[in-house]
Amino acid sequence: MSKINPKIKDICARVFNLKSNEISDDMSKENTPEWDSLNNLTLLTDIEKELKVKFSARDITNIKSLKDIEIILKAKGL
Amino acid sequence: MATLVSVLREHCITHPNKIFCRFIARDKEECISYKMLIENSAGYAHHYKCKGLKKGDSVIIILKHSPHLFYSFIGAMMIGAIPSILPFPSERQDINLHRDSMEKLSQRIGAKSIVTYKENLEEVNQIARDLGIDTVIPEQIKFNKDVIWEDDIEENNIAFLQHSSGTTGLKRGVALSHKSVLSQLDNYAHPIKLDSKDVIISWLPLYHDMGLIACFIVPLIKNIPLVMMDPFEWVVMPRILFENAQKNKATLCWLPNFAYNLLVRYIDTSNEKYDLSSFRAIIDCSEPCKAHSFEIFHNAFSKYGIKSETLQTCYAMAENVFAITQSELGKKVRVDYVDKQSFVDKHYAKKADNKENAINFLSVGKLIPNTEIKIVNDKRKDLAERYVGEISVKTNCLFSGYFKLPEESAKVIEDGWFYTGDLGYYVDGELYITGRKKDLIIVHGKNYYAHDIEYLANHIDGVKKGRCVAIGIYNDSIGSEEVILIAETEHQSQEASSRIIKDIKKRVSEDLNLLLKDVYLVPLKWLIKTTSGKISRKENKRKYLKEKFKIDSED
Repeated sequence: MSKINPKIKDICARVFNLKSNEISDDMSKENTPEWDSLNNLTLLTDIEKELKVKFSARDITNIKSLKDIEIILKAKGL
Repeated sequence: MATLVSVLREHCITHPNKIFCRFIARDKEECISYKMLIENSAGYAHHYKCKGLKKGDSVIIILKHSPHLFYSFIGAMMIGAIPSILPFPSERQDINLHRDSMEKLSQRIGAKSIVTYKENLEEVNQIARDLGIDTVIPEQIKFNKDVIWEDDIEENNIAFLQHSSGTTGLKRGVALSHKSVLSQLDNYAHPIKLDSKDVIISWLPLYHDMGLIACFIVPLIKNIPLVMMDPFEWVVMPRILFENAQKNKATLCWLPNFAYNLLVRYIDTSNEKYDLSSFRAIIDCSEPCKAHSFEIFHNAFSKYGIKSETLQTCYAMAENVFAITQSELGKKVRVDYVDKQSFVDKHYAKKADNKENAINFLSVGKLIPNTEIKIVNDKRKDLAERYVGEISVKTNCLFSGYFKLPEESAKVIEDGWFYTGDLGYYVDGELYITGRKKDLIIVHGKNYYAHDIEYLANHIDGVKKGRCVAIGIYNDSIGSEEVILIAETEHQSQEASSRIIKDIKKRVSEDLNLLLKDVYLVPLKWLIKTTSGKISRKENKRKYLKEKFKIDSED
């Protein structure tokens, strides 16, 4: 059972141009060719807009995987 | 007889304490004076000398964003060696492929020293050990007040190499002499009205000609203050460009076209406020300049003091050091509306009677001084105004050829004319770029050859050998091209197709650090060939757009 927020998965699928079943919990910059620097920016901006949250500069630098996003969002109470 | 080194020496004598650059990284700002710049560079010059390097020897620089990019580069020039800055491997690049291509490049250009960062040293050592190349990291370099100024550097000596596109092993080094670089700087200073009150701001990487020339060599030699940011920090926080421009009252900036769209998308104009009225020009260069990008940029940021005249264009290439044309500062850049039918059928950019059913091209401006241009057909015969053909140039700052590649050089230089491989037309004293003859795809300002991408895809299990084609499709919303790879395969199962697509994307990402927008698998015999038996990029692009999006493409 996936632990990642389904909304985040939907955003990932859209930004990375992948099917939802191709989005896995262990997705990271390292194992996902689609997760390049520009898609990273789109991903984080879309999450900010859709989940009404703001990432700090430190958050942005630290995010390297879906799990990192989940941890940061949890810390922000989401 | 001036050289880059002699001019730099003059700056160091006349205004040693003047701040040349505010170097911004990780929220810290380092102010670098000419004196600091030279004394730190001298540390490298001593190291190179100590390792036996002499005039004409090549130095490869692979560093992350730090002032050591400047120091190692200038240090090499101080002893007459030839530096070349290359990109560092990304997290996703396959390290074995990168090593292999670096090894080929180092061998071909006869590198004598490689400067790199600590984390990459072991990797570089594996190449260098076998080839007997010195390796060094910034931590090993000692600041040195005893500055070396080699006396026998002449204006026709090669000052540095700019490596053009291609996978690392196939990259061509554009050899630029001191004379060519200084001539370009003089030519270009005039149309951009370069002034001592200017402040240049940049986040561009120095392995790219626009970053290296416009945003490092121009300010360095013309004594213009520079504000420099980390490209990787900019791409995660685009707003730092506006923050630092406001803080430093920047007047000039060069950006690839996609950056205009990206800033529009990511700057939150309802919550963020900036004063950008200090900008005299934000110059679009390095990938096709688009009127739509200017329009959305102006609409979004006019409230920050950006006028439509602030947005300018330039046509530049490493082979001419940098600029060939520049739009007229202070005036709105011209947009030419062209009749679509005439453009497609006759390659004639007939002025459109109305904007309906017209294609528009943004002017890249007038020729800069000491530059001649001609538009030629396939037989290299001159074409009249408004006829679309290959752009060829003759200037007083053309490169002397691709480094140690005489055959490659002879193909593109004839009787002093350089045949650019770009297509365009010339009218009323202004140049318009319409496309490319060479199979080059420009993604976010970076050049990729279609055949490099196809070569990688051809080696993926399941792809019919020799039956794939890479095409570039312009995406208006991101302001840049995206790459689609179409490949024939015999496999029909969903599982096999998914695996092939994944493998192709992975291989291209690892080797070229390029993200393919789409891998389109098609059955055997889908791809269209030309009459000469080659796979037609143009026809297959047309077929792809029609089949996938029901769009009729005009180019």
